[in-house]
Amino acid sequence: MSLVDKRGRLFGLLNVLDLLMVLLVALVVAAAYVKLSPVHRPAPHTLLPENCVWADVVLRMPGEYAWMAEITAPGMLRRDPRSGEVDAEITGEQVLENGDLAVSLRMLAAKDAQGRLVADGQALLPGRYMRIITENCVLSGMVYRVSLAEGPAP
Amino acid sequence: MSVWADSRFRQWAQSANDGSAFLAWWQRGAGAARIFENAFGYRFVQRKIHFLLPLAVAVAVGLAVLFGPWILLPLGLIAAMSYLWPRAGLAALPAAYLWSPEFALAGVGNELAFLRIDHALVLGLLAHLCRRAAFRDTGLYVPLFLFLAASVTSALLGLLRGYVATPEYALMYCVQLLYLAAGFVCAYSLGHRLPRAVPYAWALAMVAFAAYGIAETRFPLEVAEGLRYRSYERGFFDRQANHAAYALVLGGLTGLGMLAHSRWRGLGLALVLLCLAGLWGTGSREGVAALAAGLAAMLLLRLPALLWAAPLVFVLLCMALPAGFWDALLRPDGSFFDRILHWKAALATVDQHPVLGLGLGARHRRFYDSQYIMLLAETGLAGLLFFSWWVAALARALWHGARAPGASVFAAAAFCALVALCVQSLACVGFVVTMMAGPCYWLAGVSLARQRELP
Repeated sequence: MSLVDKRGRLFGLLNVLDLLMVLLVALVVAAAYVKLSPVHRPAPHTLLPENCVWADVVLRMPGEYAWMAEITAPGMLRRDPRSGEVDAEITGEQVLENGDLAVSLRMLAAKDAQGRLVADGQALLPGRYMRIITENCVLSGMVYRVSLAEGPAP
Repeated sequence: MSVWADSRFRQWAQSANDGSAFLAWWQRGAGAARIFENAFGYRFVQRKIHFLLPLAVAVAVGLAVLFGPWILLPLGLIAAMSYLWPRAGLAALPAAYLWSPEFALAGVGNELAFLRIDHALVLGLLAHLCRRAAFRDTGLYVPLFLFLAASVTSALLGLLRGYVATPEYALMYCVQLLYLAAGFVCAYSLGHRLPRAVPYAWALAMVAFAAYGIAETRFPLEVAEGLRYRSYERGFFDRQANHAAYALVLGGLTGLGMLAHSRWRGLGLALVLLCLAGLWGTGSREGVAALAAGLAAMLLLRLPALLWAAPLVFVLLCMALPAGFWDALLRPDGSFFDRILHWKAALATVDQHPVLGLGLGARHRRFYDSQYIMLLAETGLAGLLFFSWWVAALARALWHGARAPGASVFAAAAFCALVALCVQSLACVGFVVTMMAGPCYWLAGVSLARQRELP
């Protein structure tokens, strides 16, 4: 039996277009569920003190945000609104050769069950879009590099 | 004595490939799979045509909530024009694709949610095809829909597993793939209705696009001291030089194809000259590689016997390049070096979920800058295999279409454009970018529609 028959049915069971529509509806439902769930739903373990670590993160912002270099400065902080503790700090910045702005941050993260670093309810993976609201400015860009920071755990 | 015909290499290549399953598949015609007319969902809409009205109201309410109610006016007007005069809608589509970042009705092309003129045009065309039951089926839809199904499944699983942290990304990429595919379906279903308008619609859009680039090169919007200025980077276009370069390559290739037809010779020459001048202004290495691939494909179409020697020539050319070329390409502070680092990071995750990947939308497309690495990492082997099947099936149909007697004026260019897009997508996500995949699919759909039947 061929994968898709002359009537467009996958293994003779379900039309490929129907399958696509069913999957699309399922995706929209799943996306709405994830979006409408509480913000920190996937990462309650990030709050456990034994999992907390400091991570060095380089956030890369496109060239049109290079003017932010005049505003950002090492020492700018973000505080956890619940505890008032500092959970992120700008440690450096650099305008790259292609005009992009790279901002270095030290931020509070946690290791999840798979050993990945998690912060703000999402895994810290290179390429992920991230938005950091400090007390002085808002940084929006992509995670460029991630590493465990040296020094004692918080 | 023919050196080529009598060469041992050619004889070996032919004998080695005589029993090749791929070769047999390539030479066989596309099977006719009646997907649309047998789909339950499509037949349901056809039987209950009034079902379209509540569907349209639901879409309108959703868009009004997302973008504000005023958006319905321009969207409705353009979609209605496209619905009532589908030829005009289809003819306007190439220009809308090329200027898509700027012809935004809401948002801009780099935001998560945006709505543009080309969206409205395709929406109207789809409604027309649905209302008139005018979808044309082809065997090409089998790999296309399987690829889309694999992509949507991977996004769904990625969301449930938690790899896709931003649901909007998953939805955006899936909708973008579906939208581009819809453009191909519309062009294939309606393209036969545009026999004479196709060259004009295409050429005028390309000429205007190239003229903008030439003007911007001559009169830069900004002047950066000590740096070479690249057009299509600022102002109207936000960092689109590489994407625009592919569109200009596409224009140049179609111009070359038109040169072979006496009726279109003048327009073809203008296209070639303007698009090459525009391409120079972009300073895009990817664009030059795409142009070289497109020209090589054109040569292969003329001399198909060279197909056997193509891999050997490619290897020899790579070996003939000076060492300085590779050093310059792999400079640690260059963008290509960054790409290699990202590719290694992306490939490191493949063994975790090899079948369906992390899920479409797990990372931003700019992280990969390679269509194939992105598909392998995010949609897994299933997505990449179905995608390869779709591209190969389309290339096969275009190859046969270009070599058939009485082929359309753009048939050869459509095949070359697809080859160029495949090559440029090694270093960018070309099959997701509207400015690149949109015109390529439009050209392919219209060219195939002009054939009486698929070979």
